[in-house]
Amino acid sequence: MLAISLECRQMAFGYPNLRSRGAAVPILGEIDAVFPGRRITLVSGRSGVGKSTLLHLLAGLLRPTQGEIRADGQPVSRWLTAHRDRWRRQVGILFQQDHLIGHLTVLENVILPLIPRSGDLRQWRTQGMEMLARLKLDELAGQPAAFLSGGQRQRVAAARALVGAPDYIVADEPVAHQDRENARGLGGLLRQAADRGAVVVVAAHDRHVDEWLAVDGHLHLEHGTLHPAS
Amino acid sequence: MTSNGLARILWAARELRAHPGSTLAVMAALVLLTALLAGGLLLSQALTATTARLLDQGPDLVVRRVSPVGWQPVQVQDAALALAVPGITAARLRIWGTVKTPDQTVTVVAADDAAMRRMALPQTLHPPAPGEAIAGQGVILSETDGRLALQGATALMTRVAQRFPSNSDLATYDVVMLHPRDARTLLGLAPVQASDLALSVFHPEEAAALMPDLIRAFPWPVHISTRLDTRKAYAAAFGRRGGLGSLLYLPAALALVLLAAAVIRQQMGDRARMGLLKALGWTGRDILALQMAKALLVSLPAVAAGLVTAYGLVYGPTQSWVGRLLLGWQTTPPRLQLDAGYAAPIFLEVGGMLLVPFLAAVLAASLGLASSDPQDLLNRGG
Repeated sequence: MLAISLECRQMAFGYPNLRSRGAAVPILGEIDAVFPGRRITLVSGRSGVGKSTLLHLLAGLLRPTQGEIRADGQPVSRWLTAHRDRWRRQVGILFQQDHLIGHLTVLENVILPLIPRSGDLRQWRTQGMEMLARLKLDELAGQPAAFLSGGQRQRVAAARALVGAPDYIVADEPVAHQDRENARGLGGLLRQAADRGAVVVVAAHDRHVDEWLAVDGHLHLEHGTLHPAS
Repeated sequence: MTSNGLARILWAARELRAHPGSTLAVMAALVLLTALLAGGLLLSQALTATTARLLDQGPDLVVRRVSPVGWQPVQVQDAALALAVPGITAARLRIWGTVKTPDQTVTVVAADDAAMRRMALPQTLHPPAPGEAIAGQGVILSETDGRLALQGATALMTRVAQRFPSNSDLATYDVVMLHPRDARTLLGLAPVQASDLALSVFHPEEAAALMPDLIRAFPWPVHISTRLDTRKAYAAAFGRRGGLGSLLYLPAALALVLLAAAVIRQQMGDRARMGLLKALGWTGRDILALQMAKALLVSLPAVAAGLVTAYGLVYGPTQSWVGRLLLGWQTTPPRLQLDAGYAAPIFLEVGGMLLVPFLAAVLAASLGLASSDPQDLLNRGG
């Protein structure tokens, strides 16, 4: 079976220039890159260089201003919103900020991606609890997310990204607040996802990534373009 | 409903529970708005319907003798003059009039066995014996021993032996029913006299056409009223009050606009969360379904509760203040009979009038959210 992939083709992105209403402020230049399935690709780069923007583009949260993104050969970045929304169900995203909903419990936050899919509350609960157990968070399932520490919040966000067994996983600084043991635990889950065929893209500027994650490829983002890391 | 559909509704309820203050405020506003609008319309409609039903049971034509100084009694033999007119099938002498009690003005009606049967009164009521009376719910008894002092052409002290039940028709509200002999004495009528003549005709729709013949049949001036005339007079009276009541629509419409604006504002404040849901795989349709489910969970029970409240205010035991406010009733008003044929359209009309704009406002706001890119929503939501 052929592995799935995410691919950037001459992709560029800039935010609209609100002051002059002129050309977009360029963030990413023409990027050509392939993120294959069954592999974990690390994207490194300085803070503010555009790693998060690249991940949001790959996850379908933004549209490129030029070029396109292909998922499994399909130009998903050009699709109509309704179709892209549906495709996004195959994506698991771990934001740099955790974006948890404070008034919901930990378990409720984790099952959010499952609700629009098939199944019922019992199934969602079972899946959510399994994922929380793998991240050693099952005892916190009933707690409101607002009461968690930074590290716990990040792991809950990771559980939420992985609970639906997505085909495409983008993780932005996933272990910024984790100790080594929890970081390794999360790295293990990302490896399992890759082993079952998923495309995994991780953005980090941490030089010690290899202590918790066995990456298969490493790209460096600099001046808006991606290069193989030396 | 599928288990997934039920689970999504439960989720929408869970989201509402997270903001109990704003949810309850919107619900309370909708309940009040619905009760206010439906209450006014139901009362007006119930009175019109009840009056129409009463008039349908009454005579086709009523003939009163008039003179330059006012009403004059008719004679027993005058019934024969009316029956001589082709098209008149029955003529009945009626003894009635308005008199005073120490507290109010009441309508005195004479009733014997035949009259009681004709009026379809509850079987528990018996025709009043001489010296006795049956009083309506609106008649105030000032005497502790159940006696009632009446002042007409003469004074009469009578004992209220029975009262019309509280669920009696509107017509019995301020009525004191007496034995015919007592009624004649009180109203100053001789034994061969009556207040007016109630006539039945062969074709009720042609009643007005018989009026010229009837005027010629009597040797003295008469005033003749048809059932249609009476119905129009009542309809005009209720219409005037209804017109005043319709002024309620203006503030109600404004309140609805403000309510919808508040809900839209709340939804716009939710943009970041909606962006997050889209990022997590919710489609625009899922977002739309969630927002509409929340709106329905709030508005349907609230409108239903408002309609039930309006029903209780008009038909229930707490109706007195509505009658006092809108119709100036001084005592416990008569219980109105619910006619589903009249009430159901009002329920639908008011329910639709409030639900449609409310849901449309939510839908319009949600469409914007549903069609946006998730990152836009996350950024604009802060």
